[in-house]
Amino acid sequence: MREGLRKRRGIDQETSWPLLGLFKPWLQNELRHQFLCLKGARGYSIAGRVLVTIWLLFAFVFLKPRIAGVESWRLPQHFFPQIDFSRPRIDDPIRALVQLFWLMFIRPHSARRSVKKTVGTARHFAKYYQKLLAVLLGWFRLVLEWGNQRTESHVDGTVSANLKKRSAPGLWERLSWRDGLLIAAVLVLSLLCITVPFSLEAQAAFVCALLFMAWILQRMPGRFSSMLLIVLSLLVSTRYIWWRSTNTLNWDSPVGLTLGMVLLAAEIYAWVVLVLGYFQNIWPLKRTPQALPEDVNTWPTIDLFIPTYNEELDVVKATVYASLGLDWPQDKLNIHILDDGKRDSFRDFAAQVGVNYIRRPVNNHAKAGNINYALTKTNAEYVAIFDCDHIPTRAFFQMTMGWLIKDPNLALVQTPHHFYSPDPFERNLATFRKIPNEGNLFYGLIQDGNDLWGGTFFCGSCAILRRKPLEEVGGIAVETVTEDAHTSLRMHRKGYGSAYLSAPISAGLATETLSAHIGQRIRWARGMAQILRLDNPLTGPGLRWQQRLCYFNAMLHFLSGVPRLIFLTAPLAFLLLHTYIIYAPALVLLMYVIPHMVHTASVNSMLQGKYRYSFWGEVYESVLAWYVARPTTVALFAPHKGTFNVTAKGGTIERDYYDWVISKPYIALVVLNVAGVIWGIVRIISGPSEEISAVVVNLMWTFYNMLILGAAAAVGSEAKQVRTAPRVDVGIPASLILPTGHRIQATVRDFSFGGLRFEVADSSLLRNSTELDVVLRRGNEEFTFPLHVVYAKDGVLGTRLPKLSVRQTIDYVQCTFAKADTWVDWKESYSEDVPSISMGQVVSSAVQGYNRLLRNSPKPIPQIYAAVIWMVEGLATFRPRNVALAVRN
Amino acid sequence: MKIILLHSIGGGNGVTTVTANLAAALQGLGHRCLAIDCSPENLLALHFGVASDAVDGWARSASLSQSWVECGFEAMDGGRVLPFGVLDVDSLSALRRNLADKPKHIADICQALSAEPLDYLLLDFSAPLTGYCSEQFSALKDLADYSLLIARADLQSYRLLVSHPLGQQLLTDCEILLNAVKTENELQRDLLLVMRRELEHHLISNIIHHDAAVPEALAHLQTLNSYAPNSAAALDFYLLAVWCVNKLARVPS
Repeated sequence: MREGLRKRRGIDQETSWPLLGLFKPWLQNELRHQFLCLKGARGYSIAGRVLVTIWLLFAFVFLKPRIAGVESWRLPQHFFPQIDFSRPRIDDPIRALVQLFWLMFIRPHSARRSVKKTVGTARHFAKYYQKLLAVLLGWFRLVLEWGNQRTESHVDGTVSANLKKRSAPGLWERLSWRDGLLIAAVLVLSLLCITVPFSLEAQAAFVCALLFMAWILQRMPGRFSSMLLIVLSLLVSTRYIWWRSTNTLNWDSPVGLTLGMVLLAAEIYAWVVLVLGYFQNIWPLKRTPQALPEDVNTWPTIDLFIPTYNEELDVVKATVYASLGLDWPQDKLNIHILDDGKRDSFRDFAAQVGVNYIRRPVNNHAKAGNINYALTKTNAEYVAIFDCDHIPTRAFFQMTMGWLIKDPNLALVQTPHHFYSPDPFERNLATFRKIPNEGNLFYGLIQDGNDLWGGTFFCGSCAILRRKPLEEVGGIAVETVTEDAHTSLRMHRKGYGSAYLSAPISAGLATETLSAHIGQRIRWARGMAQILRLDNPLTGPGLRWQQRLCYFNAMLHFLSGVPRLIFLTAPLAFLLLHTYIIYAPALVLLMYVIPHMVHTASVNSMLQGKYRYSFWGEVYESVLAWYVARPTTVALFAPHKGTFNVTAKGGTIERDYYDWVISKPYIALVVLNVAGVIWGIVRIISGPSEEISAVVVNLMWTFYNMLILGAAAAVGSEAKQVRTAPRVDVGIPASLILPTGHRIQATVRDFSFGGLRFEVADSSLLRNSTELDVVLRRGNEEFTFPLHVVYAKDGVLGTRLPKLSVRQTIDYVQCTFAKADTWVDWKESYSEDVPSISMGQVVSSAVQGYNRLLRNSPKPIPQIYAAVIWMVEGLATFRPRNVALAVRN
Repeated sequence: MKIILLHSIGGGNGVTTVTANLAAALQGLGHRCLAIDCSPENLLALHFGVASDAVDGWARSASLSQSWVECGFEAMDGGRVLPFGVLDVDSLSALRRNLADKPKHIADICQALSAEPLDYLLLDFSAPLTGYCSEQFSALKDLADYSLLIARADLQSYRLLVSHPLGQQLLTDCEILLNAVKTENELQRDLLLVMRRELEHHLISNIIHHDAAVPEALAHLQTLNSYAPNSAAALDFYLLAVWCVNKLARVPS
């Protein structure tokens, strides 16, 4: 063993040491080895050579073999990790002194003391506290369990009654006089809790009690405890709003009053959205698929519409191929490409693969008009609509049609829009499949919540509509730019129902660029504002109050632009303009606002857990705020203005760039906030002392805003995207057939329309094949596709698909994009929200954002920034490092 | 000890290959296996790496009126095999006459082995109805815990299994495993679908894919799992072994 080691060491000729010849061979080898070990990344300089040589000789002659658990010749490397002894620099003595000082006087002592002390106290405290907690939790649990059972049975009864028949007795009719009394008592009590003014101490006791209750309830399973949490949050937030409206307006200063009113209005808006959100999401229905009738002959006919306007043929092809493989009797499924772009290539493609092609003479009303024209040319019982970049999986109709057949009153089954490519947020922040994206909340939770109240609305794609109700309301609505929601609103008004199936059974391309993404959101926001004006869901005939609230909240949500801008600038009113817009002592304000924030955050984290992480909603909103603020306001006052803009998808971004045009508003806000921070610090130093607490509170708020804005600014930096065909990361087992007749196991790592990437145990298994076949499974069947090998290295195999026949392409799409279970685990892969982790993610995104912002600024700023970074990094090398100290035996 | 009987209608379906590889896969899962060769070709021993000059086997012993107990071999992985033994034509027909009086000869061997520390006993019995003695086969079939018919996804197998009386007789109390299936071949893929539909109660969902690594492993005198652990066929045999273990876990031993 020892011999072997020596030999191996001896091979390295790096060290030719003139002095070495003086020693015995074994010592030569030993020293050579040590000399090599102390070599830094950049090799030895002359000074380093001398220094290390002297040290090694010294260590060999004078030191014992091990000191403090470390081989003694390694000591410098171990205790001074920041110094490269093989290449000493002029300032290294200072580093050494700092580290020495740290090691001798600070670190060992502080570490030892703190550990001992905290452990002792904590243990003592924990014992006592656990006992108390156990008793308390035991009692609570009993009460909650009883409550859980009652709510479950009660609500389940209501839900199934709602699902079965609309004429079932509603919630109100089933209440007895005792329930009425109880409700009245609760209302009176909560009114007291909300409106009674408290002294500072009383308020403190009150919020502590509620926070404590919430803290316990969070640890309790079941829906009843979540509902109690919601009630607590409502109580606290409403009390806050009441206090803000009655006690904090500065009636003495006109500017302060005006700005204070504006902020209050924004807060009331946020409160209304919060309350409606609780209502909407209190009990997501989580509908499961309904079985289809046994007899296939009774299954209805379906027209599948693929509307397109300016998308590339390749994008549309995928959807058509996937549709051709849908699991539905062939004679009962008619596929139509609705081409508004009037392109002959599309017509030829349709003829080639045998689907119908519809082209209309005019182009009015965009997508809505396109579908309405197709409705006049077709006649199946149901209409399925897929945007041309949404690929339905094979089981789409099997999963969805059951409900439509079972419930004749159902006009619509909507399924989520699932995206297999990253949207600009995910791409630019590198959060794809790590942090739930903007749409996850809506499709994961809100639509499911709406479904309980019968208020799920149409989202334009990945949905099936019954033709009769659709024609009854005059086809797809053309009055607004969000024709989808408007259409379902009209069908709801006629008394028809809708259903939501929260299963990712289709997948599409997300918007490519940030500007396109924002353009799409602007359209949605404008459209929703238009509906609010033209066909207000709160008024008008036909809707149940629950549906009204669901629609109203959906529309209200899109008006968030102006309030968000107000929140982002509000603390500046105090810091820069010196007006008290919240006229209250800082301590009292904190006493009201902190419980409000904590309760809201904890309930939202609980409700939205997997679908939206804490604080990210604010980032998403802040990016859009400026852009949706104007169109929504305009649409509210002049609903007929505005045009439909198509969302561009399926392109590439050739290089990294910073989208200055689109980031301008955030940069302006960042600059304002920075000014506010500087001025605030100035005021702390030189301003009157009684204002300091208010300044501090406002500074904290500003810092939080800057955090959110930083993350928003990070989105503006467009990351490069070169592949035309986005790749989908998976882990599907497959096998490869070599020309030699060998068949080897492989795992598909990603796939796209262009090719696949595999992982195999060893590249040599491939026997240098350049052509091979891949076998993919779909259910019990196997399909083989030819492949060209592009590269094979380290067990990774990149391949390209040659031109496939129509049949093969359909099969390929069926085995990959349209495989029934391809997207299922995506939804599950997000972990539950942990607010502190989420905060960390926002912070790191914000740091990234400011970094990119500064690096991409006009001329002198990046240079100054680089210089500052260089200085800071240089200084950081002097920082002392922690060193593991061995325990003495 | 669980007894698995592997057989087929005619020769050439790969019963011996499947038996040997299944035994190796079971051995790989940690079960102790013994495979008994019931075919005069005496090829099972080849899969276990037994030298070609070894002529001993239970049948040879029977024809020489000796005991079969000394005839077994153990392979590198611990799997054991009891060969048929090498017999010329005359001895074979003599044996056939001899065994007509003892229809339970092989079954008796199996029963004698039940005292051994064994988990699985695999019987390689290709072409039992057209072969040298069908009485032996029916005795074994009564004794076996699980009997598996090896076939191919070709028209011949389809015809025999679906409409030939031989196939009908064999199919009672037995399941079918398709061996050496080329799913990349359109005809075989279609036949696979047809057979899945028409023989759905008999066909197990596992199949063994056609893979050049199987004969290569034999040529290298290695088990598939040690020669080509990443081949598709190795995975197929592993899955088949798991299937058998699960299937037989419900049978009391």
